[in-house]
Amino acid sequence: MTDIDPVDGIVAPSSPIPRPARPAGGWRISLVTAVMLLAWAIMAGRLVHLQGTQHDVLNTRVDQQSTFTETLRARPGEILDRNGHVLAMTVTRNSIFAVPSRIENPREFAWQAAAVTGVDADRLLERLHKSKDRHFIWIRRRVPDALAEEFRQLQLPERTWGFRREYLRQYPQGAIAAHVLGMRDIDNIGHGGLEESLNDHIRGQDGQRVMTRDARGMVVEVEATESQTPVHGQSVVCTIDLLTQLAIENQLDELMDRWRPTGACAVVMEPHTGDVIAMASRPDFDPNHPSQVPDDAWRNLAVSAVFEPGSTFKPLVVGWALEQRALQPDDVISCFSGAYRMGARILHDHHPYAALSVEDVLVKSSNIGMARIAERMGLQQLYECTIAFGFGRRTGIELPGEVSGLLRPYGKWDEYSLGSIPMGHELAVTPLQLITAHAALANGGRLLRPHLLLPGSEHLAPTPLSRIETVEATAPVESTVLHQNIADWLIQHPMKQVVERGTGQSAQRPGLSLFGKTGTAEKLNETTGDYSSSRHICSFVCGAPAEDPAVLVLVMVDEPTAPGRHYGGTVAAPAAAEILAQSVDRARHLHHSVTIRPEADLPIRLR
Amino acid sequence: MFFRFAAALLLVVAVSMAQVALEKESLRLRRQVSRQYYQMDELLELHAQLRLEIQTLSAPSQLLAKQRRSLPQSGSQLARRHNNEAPPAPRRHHPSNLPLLRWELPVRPDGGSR
Repeated sequence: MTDIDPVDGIVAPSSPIPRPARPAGGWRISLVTAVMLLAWAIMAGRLVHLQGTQHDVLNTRVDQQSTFTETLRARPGEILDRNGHVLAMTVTRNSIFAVPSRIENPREFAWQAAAVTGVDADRLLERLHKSKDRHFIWIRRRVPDALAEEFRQLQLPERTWGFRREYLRQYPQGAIAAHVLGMRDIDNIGHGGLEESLNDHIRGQDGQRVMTRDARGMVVEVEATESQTPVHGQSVVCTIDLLTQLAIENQLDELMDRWRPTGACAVVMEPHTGDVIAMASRPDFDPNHPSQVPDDAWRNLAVSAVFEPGSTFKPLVVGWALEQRALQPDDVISCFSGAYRMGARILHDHHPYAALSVEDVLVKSSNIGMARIAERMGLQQLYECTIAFGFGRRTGIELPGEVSGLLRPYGKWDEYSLGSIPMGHELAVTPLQLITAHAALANGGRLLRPHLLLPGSEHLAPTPLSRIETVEATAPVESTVLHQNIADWLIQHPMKQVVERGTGQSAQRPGLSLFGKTGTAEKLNETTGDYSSSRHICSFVCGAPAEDPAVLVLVMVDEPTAPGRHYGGTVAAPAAAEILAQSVDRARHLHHSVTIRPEADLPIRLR
Repeated sequence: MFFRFAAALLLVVAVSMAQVALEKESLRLRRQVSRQYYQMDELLELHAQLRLEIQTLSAPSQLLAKQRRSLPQSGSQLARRHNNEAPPAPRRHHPSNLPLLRWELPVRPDGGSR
């Protein structure tokens, strides 16, 4: 407080005012304030530290704890035959899993679960004990719906088990065309056949669903922006005709019973387009039961077996000789009464002939006649013949595991080859290569690329389950090998006569104008390196009608063991002719396109 | 002043309520769409199951096997006729033995369809 002088207004200092006494313990407030400030400073520093330097690490940890990603499996596409019959398709099945960490009485759980699912109870109990800290183990995968319902009725403790839907590949036709289709494993990977070669198209692309869950593990939100819809696999239409396929499967089964060979295969081809209408191989398997497949059954002999073609190779050599003007159709070939010396060796015929026409050289399947024709051609022309008809390289069919056969380089050919090659020795071919070469004779001289996918399927419509793959057809014609008149002459004269009065008479069918060529090749004895006189490969290639071939059939039988005469004409020809008769009937009904359903009818999501 | 304040407050409340209503409607529609997708997936799956069943039952190999099984019966009938035996009494045809398709939807035990 101050006093003011009334005269001059000078403020005079007053007596000193006593300061208020500081409250006792004020230092404590200061201390608390300081501590709080310090704490805030520490917190602020920690905040800056967390947000600044550990931001990413913590974010990742939070994501791991609160979000999880579920894979949405793509449904594999279907495989259809040319008439729309389903050869392979996919359905869903329940898979049963357990949560061992939540099971209080593993013994009781294992006993009850095993009683329904059929798994071994002791083994399941052992797995539950081993995985008692884990949250997931499979009990049994892809069970039938009835079994899943039965398991549900067990009313095992909640949250100790569950179902997951998984895709299961099914082959409704069973073992039919198993080698063409191959199979798809539990991880949706194709093995063998079209399942493998078209895996990228059929498999589709998995999607994912990202979800956020709370502390109890319950889903609270689906992150739509981070989720991806699966792209289901595309369906494909193949050239196989189911009924023709069934016919050759039945014929091969009968042939296996009759002749007990180590293997056999058959191919039916449309010679003008290269469509493989049917293809089968023995031994075979049922792709619905992959665990029961014998080891030797996986192999598709039609594309992976190589054998010396024998006499079935002779028409090709004659055709090439005619094409190169080394031979005329009306020439007469001297056959030296059944024995002919070629360099160091002597060739023999089954029956001695003094001279044969070109036609009869094929009808009687004369080795000497063929060697004489080859002498006119020379080694170079002979080699060009094998190359022109596609031997020594893969045909390019849409099947995995195709081999290119065995064709020695030209530099390794010698005079011995001049006698061996024309009779179908000294080279090895696949059945598919052989029928492809014969298709060139049957279609007027054009070598085609055999294929299993129906070309021109741009207008094909999808099934409701998946889209159909539009096949970009490769150029079907590889090259023109022969003039049409030469090819027609070979089919309508020598090869027709082979069936009418030659080695293929057992293939005759009333009312059917067949042409064909038998082949019997001796197998190599691996120990001695010589040809075996008791182990044969019998083959027969035939087609009909001779005037305008619509179907071509090849049957190859590897080492028949049942008693009897093991020739192409006796072992393979009857089965081939039966297949041919059924195929010709069926060929009239074959469609070259399939219309299943207009695409516009489908929901947008399925287009 | 009071009326202005009240009007503003009312406006805010109205906008909020409209937003809530729209949110609820949006959520309902999203649930409906989701349910319809689920139903479509279920129907597609049912379609696949039935398609598989049709293809399996009508597989030519299946029909051929059935035809083959019936052939010996025809032979035995001929033999019976030859021996002047009376034909056996016709068996009742149980629905589960029907050779081809049964156009029934799978039904759960509780009565609901899958």
